[in-house]
Amino acid sequence: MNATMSRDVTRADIRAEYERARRALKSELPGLTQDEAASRLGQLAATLDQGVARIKGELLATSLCWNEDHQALVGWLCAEHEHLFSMAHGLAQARPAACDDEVLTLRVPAAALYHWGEAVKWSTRRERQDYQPLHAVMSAALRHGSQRQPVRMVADGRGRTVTLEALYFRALLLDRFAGGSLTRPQLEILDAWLWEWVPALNARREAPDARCFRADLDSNTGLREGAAAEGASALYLPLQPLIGRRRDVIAHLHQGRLVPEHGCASEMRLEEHVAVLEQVGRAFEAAASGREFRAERRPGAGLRIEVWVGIQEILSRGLAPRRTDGATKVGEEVLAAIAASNPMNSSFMLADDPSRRYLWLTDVSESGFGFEALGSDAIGIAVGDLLGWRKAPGEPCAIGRVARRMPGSSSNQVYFGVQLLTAAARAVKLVEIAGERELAEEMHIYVPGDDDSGRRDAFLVTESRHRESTVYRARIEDRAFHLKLDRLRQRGRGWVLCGFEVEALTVAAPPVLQDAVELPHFRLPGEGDDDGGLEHALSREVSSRLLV
Amino acid sequence: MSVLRPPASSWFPMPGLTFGFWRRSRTSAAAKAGAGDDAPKVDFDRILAGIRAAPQLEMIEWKGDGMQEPAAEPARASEDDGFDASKLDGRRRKIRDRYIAARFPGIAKCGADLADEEPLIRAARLMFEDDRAADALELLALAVEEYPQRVAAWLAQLEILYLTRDAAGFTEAAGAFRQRHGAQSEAWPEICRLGRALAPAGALFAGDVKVRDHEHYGPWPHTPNWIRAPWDLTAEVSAADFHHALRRAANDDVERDAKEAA
Repeated sequence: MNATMSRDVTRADIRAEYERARRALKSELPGLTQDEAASRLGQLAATLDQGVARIKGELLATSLCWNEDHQALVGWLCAEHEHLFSMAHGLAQARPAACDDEVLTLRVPAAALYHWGEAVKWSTRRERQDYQPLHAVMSAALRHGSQRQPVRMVADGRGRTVTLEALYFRALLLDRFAGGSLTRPQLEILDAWLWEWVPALNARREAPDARCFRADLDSNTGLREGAAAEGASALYLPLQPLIGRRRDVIAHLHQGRLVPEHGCASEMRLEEHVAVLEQVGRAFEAAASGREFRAERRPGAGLRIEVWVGIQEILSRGLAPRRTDGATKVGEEVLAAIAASNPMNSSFMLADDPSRRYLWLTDVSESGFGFEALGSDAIGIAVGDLLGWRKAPGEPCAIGRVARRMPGSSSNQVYFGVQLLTAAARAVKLVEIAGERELAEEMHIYVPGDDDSGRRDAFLVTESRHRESTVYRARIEDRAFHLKLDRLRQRGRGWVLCGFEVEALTVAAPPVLQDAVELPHFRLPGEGDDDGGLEHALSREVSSRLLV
Repeated sequence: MSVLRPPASSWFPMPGLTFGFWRRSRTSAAAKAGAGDDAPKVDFDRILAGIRAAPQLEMIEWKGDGMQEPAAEPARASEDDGFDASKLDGRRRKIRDRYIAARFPGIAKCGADLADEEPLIRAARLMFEDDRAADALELLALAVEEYPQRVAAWLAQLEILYLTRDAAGFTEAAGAFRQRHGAQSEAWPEICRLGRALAPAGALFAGDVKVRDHEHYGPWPHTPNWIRAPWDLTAEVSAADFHHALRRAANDDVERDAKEAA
């Protein structure tokens, strides 16, 4: 193998040379002794590792502006790690049953598990991983009793001591978080933490009392929560140690230390570390509290929807009254034309004002929506953006936050997972006031909460306009409300979701009263009932503090 | 090259001694310079072989499934004991400040912003009311680390721990408070009262029980209101009015659209 091969895998010719070496080794493997095969495989893997270690920092730092060359490189890295996994897995399977050789029982399976995880990290596809070979490597280690023996390996140019079960759960955790909710730099930070958390990545054969992740060894699935069905072969990863490790990362940051203090992840922006902390915290909390990770999904195929990106576009197109907004049901020929991205097809020509974006609703759940888009429609939409849409004319405007962005089901398509913020947004005019003076008026997006007391209501405002001390006046019906947007609940790219306090309630100029107006008697729900109906009716409208 | 005489010559008038010293140093410098002319002779193969060679590692003793999580928490606690945010070096100070800004946007841009008690405690209270008690506690913990001598953040932290019924957390924080401010602190009897309610068996809170005649009095019953919750509930009633007014307006719009469509 050429000594310069590992220097620059950004060059296509170097990659081609590596591929030739890999193909040659693959063809020679059956004729080599197992020791020799393991040694040659280790050399090939080390060459790739050195090449990746050289470019990774820069590659990840520029991930927002990758061009086709970068995409090709990333796809190549994923494919090469898959090949290395495949060869290591084959070698591990071919070893004799009563083998005690450390290389074959530990190093080769460790390499297989490591490369499976790396392939997940660099994956550019949306298809589900094939988990069975991964589970097979772990099952073999369990049979041999080698899952907890320490093994020394080199990854990212650094020597590390790990165990097979730690590598196994590292791979599965990376797979869990690689669904598009973390960007590639963020996934790299998570991976760096997982290397630090190796002592906490130890499995149990019996389901623990506390919450845990589960890997079903006989299945073709990734990590699940809770106990397996009786008789199923499963490994459990308790969550509490991982939650503790996350707290350690926070404690280190309080002390002004990054985790880890060296390496590629330590050079990434601190905001990325915080984003990973929050995402991991949400995932662990959801699993620890026993909530379902995902609401039940229903297919939404066939619905082509115009979406609006960002607050301004949602206000101007989504919340302004229009007759032609919303979704349209289209036929198979249009589906095919758009999937094929064929602009000459007459059906496709229906589409469209180039300033508008159309996405395909692929699945729906209570908490979110899945959309697919052509690459051209997906340009500029990233995790953290706001999307607005109406499912049909006359339906309220829904708004969601892009939580996942990943390759679509076919090439040149992108899949978006959108977390629903509200199914019925509304534009409300707010006037900024200072004392009695009106400074400026602007439309804002009102996001109604699920609580009748209004304590979960919020406004979506642009980040640049958000100031906690500003007082706004809203006029609804004949009333004026003074609002202070002082509860920052969520933020994304250029927007913040703010809860608010209603500062004072004033009644606007009353209508001219007629003489001897008889005030109507308002009957409260449940009034006069003996079964506590009145108390129940009021219970949702008073402060939770009074319900203690 | 400098033409100044080496200072040693003025201190050592014996020519042989001084010249010899500088000659040696010149010789070694020349030797180094000469070595730099050749191509580097680094034995990469030997280094790589060292990496690839299987190290002689001792077996880690695993205690099986019953094994407890390694003692990370106590280790961290011992590190925390010596932690003083005011003595951080420049780099660590910058990381801490950037973390505060990224973690609590709109509330603080750096540790110094946590000095102002009023907005700090208000922000923590609002987070707690929005079901983000963990975030509120972290914000207050950062403030306590930054200004440990000020009691307001300590007390707000204790009250939120009490309201979330976190007995272990409350006991730990109360112990740290007592260590820092002593049992003579004005707030200590009140902390003990809350502690006895939350962890009756806690030895830290043992002592005379002083019954108050206004237990139910306050924004949150039984609490001292260290989180400074407003006593006036008008804003909350107004929020409900606002919610219902907008819901009525939305219903009116739907009806109007339906009529227009018909």
